[in-house]
Amino acid sequence: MKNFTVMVAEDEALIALDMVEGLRERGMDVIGPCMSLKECMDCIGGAQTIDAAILDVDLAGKDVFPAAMLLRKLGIPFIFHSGHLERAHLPRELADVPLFNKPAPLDSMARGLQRTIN
Amino acid sequence: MIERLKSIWQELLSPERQHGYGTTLLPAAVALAILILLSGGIAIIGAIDSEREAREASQYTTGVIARLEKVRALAVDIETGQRGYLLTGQRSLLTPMKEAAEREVQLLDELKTYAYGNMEGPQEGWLMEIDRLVRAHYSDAAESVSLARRGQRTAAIEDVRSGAGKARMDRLRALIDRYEAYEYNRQARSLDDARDYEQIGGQQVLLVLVVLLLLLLLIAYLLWRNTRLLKTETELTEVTEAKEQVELISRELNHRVKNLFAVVMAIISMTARRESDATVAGDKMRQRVNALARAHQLTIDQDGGRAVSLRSLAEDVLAPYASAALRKDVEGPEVQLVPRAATPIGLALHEMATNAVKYGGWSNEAGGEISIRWTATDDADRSHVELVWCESGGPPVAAPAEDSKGFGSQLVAQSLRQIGGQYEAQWLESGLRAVLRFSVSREPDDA
Repeated sequence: MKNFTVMVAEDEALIALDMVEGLRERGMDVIGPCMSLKECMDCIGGAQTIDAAILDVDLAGKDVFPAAMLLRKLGIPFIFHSGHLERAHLPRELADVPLFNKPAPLDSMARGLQRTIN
Repeated sequence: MIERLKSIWQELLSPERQHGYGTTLLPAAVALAILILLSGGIAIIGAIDSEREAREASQYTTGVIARLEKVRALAVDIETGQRGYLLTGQRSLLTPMKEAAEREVQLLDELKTYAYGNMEGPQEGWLMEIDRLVRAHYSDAAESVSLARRGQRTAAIEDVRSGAGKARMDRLRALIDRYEAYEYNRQARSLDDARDYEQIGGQQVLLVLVVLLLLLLLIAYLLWRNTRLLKTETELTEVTEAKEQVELISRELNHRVKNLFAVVMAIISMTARRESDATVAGDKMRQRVNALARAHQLTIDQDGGRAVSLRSLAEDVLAPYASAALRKDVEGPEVQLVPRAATPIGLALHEMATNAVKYGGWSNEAGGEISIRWTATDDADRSHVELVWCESGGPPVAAPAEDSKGFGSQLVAQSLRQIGGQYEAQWLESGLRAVLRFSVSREPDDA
């Protein structure tokens, strides 16, 4: 059986590395970490199938929302991860996306991912 | 009473009421002052008017009395002429008598004209009576003279002696006295009035002066307060701006702190994943958090947290391990790193330094060298930095297998990626040679 594949978009190196390792530990395949919006768009358009995604809202000073809209169009579930964003600041069409405030334990984010898939 | 007035005044001008009363107090005070000035003006005009009236009345009284005295004197002249003629028979005495009589009639007409319009009570009656008495007096005198001229001198003297003429003369004198007393009295009354008005006028002048003074003081005070209010407003704007600035900084700080917590959590979980020994794991966590803290501290120490120089960052990372035997060589042009770039570069250099101490150029206590040299190429708004990290003096090292790349080299590679840079490592015979390429904005506020 093919492994579950998660894309990680995170611009803070240590946090990104930890997430990648943590998700792999939990038996998932990881694409990324994508550290900029461009890398993120490249990954989504790339050859590998993506089952779900964890998106840091701010990638090197740019909003991740274009990538989020693209994922939504492709029907790929995702969650947001942010250090300064509040739900009220999400664009209206993305207001229903689960939002995890930094620092969020990886376990709770993994559970959040599971819920969006089911 | 004064205390109460003071409290009302303070209440009116208290800061809480400033905006409420500031606009109505001045017009009200000005209106009140104008009213007082008007009433004062009227009173002063009244006083001047009444003084003029008193002066006129006084002149009039003098005029009336002078004429009345003349009437009295002429009546005496007539009487004297009559008696002189009757006693001596000298005809020369008749001419002054006749002249006095003519003058007397003329004078009475003059007095009537003079007094006309100024008679308020009994004067008119008195004047008519005086006129009647004077005429009767003269016709009596003329009759007795003509009696004497016809030779009946004794009869004429008898007639004078009968006392009818004397009674008439007494009556005339009494009437003139009464008239004079009346006019004197009237003059005194109008003088009293003038004095009263003068007093009131004087008080009004004083009041007007006091009100003018108070008004001037009030205007001066309001001007002063207006200036102060303007100043307060400016200060308020400054405080609001400062507050907004503080809120902005506090939001940014909150964001950074949250991020820092997330980074510390990542350090803990990644280190724990690799080290089964709790003491070793604890040491490594402490070292990495410390490296993070130092990189952060550098961004605060220099230039008010705006930027940190690459040189001080490199020196600071190597300083804890360097000694006479473990040499360092840091060389390159001035490059300023914004905090966003300083933290990952600081962490990367720290990982490389700990690796060098553990396995590389500084792992041999006998001696070794780490050289950090960089060049910077500037374009329009960014500096492109190429930093070469060279270790020598350590044992020969081999490249780690791709799949077992240590946490350290992964962290360095990802940290460089984080700021859009690249990391390349070559394991030479002499030691590790690593090239770090990245670019930084020369505008301190950009990433």
